[in-house]
Amino acid sequence: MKRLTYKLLSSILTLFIVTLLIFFMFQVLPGNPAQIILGIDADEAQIKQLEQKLGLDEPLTTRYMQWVQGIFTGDLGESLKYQMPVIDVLKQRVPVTLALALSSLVLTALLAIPLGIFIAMKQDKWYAFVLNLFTQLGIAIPSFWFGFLLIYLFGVKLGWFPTFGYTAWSENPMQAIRSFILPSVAIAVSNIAVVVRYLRNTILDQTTMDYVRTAKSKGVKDHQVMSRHIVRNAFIPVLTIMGMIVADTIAGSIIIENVFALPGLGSLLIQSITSRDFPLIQALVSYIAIFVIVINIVIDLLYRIIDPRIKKKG
Amino acid sequence: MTQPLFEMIDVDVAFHLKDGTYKALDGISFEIQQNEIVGIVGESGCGKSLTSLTMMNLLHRSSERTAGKMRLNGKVLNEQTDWHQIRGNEMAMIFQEPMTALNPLMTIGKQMTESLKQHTNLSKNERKEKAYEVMREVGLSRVETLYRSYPHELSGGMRQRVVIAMALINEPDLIIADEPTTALDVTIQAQILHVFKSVMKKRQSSLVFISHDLGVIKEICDRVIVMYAGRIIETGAVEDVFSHPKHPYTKGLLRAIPTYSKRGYPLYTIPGTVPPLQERKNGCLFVDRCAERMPQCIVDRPFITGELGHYASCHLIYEEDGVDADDSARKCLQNI
Repeated sequence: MKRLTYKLLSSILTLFIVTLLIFFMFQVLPGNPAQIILGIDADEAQIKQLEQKLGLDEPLTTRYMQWVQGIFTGDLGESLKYQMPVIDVLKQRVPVTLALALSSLVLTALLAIPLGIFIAMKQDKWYAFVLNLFTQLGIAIPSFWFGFLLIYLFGVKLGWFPTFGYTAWSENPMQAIRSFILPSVAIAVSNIAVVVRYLRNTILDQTTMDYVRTAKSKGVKDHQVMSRHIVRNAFIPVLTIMGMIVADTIAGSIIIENVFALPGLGSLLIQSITSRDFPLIQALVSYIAIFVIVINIVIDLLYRIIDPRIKKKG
Repeated sequence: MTQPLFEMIDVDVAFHLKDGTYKALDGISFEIQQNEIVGIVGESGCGKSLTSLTMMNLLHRSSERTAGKMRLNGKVLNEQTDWHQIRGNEMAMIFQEPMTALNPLMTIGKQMTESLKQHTNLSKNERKEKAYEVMREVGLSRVETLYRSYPHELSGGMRQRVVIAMALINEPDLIIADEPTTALDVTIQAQILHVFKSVMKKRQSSLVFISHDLGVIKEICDRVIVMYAGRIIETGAVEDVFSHPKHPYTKGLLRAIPTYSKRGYPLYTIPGTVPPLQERKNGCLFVDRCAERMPQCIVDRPFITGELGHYASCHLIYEEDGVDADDSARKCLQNI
């Protein structure tokens, strides 16, 4: 339990530092929000009035406290660009990114784990060598390039999938799934490559371990040695990579959402930055940071499920 | 003569290294009778562990059995053999490192019953009962708790007992123990040896006990095989080999044992080291370190020879006994 308490405390500390950084970074950025909203023609009195309305005349610490409170209550002020509460803007966008991230993760897990095990088991065969080369390529190729390639092949040439845009699930579920397939694949490809390579290496490391020899000496069949003994042990380090990939997927979606013109958080982040929509940027960055922290805690919990040694060490 | 439990006849094992293929085991022949404890002794790199892995067909990918035969209960063991059926059932193995020999993520119970699951049709509860029984037999207490524990929760001695129990659980005819006490401290070592002795006596199964510790071998074995640089250089009943060693290497090993009477004197060591795999030539491989070497030792490989079950491969023996080497070798082969 000590370890979990420690993890939670350090997460809270991280969160504190992150919010502090986000908040004060926007304070030191040049440009007065009130001035920006009103335009250069505004006179001093108008600006003062708006500052008062927005609460910009309050001391920094009070504003910070209010803002942090807002993160948890969902009251993050109004988006300057959309002229509506930030939280409502997010509510529209979150499902798109979440669906994209989830489908690419499911794709990664479903393909990478069996493939990694397969390559490790057949490491002497020529096709394992070829697959291994492909994983190298998968890591090297940027996801947006892969996105373009997919659009060209399956969207333009073959016409199997829409080339851009998005259909809401509520409108047409089939169409919604189709519009997600290409972007999910584009994000998943490099992730799959990373996981496959990593899993292959950890499996090969485990294969020479003493406990594997013990299992074999008991007469356990090869595939059972793999599934019962090696894969579970090999999975512990892979879990760390998976956690990083989950966090990465959000970052990856920033680019891919723009390539495929999907109205998710990623494209929203870019738009909010170009339009200097401070309340929106602050909210987005904070929530992404919170998401990464939460993922870290989840990974830590998963470790405890897989590895009995962690519980005892406390 | 009754059929031996296990026979190894003229077995070679080769390592495929980057710069070529080298023989790491060279013409290994021995047999193990029912209900016999045989020790294999020698310094690191002499091929003791390799011999045990060859017996179980668990050689690493880079090595391979290139010649010779093995038989278990008269059945020939080769590539076509269903090794999954033999391992853990007819032959079981106990490994050196109790700290790493167990899967850290699996409960003791699961690992113990794995070979029962593989080889028998016992129900889950029967397997559990059987595991409890064997664990008690090797001197473990609180077995119900242990059954649910993970390896890291056990001490080194307890783990080694678990590893032993794991090998015993299916009542194999032959158990191979590769340095089972080396990683343990001396008091635990004595306890574990005691477990071995009593269990083997009760079960009437055979044991191959590999160790570099002659004291331990003397303690529990009936017969001993002395290995050097991938060859058997002397073999015989423990009393014979220990009281009348024939090979200069065996003599050296025995002299190098620290005893109370040698207190205060510098400990004897055999000069030099085992020749590396790449430099093993035709003659006697001990020649560079031997105080009693003769010209023919460099060129001629000595045949293993002797009588009354005590054999050694050294040119000195031909000299002493005045036997004709070829004749003696023929006799010897007939015996095997």
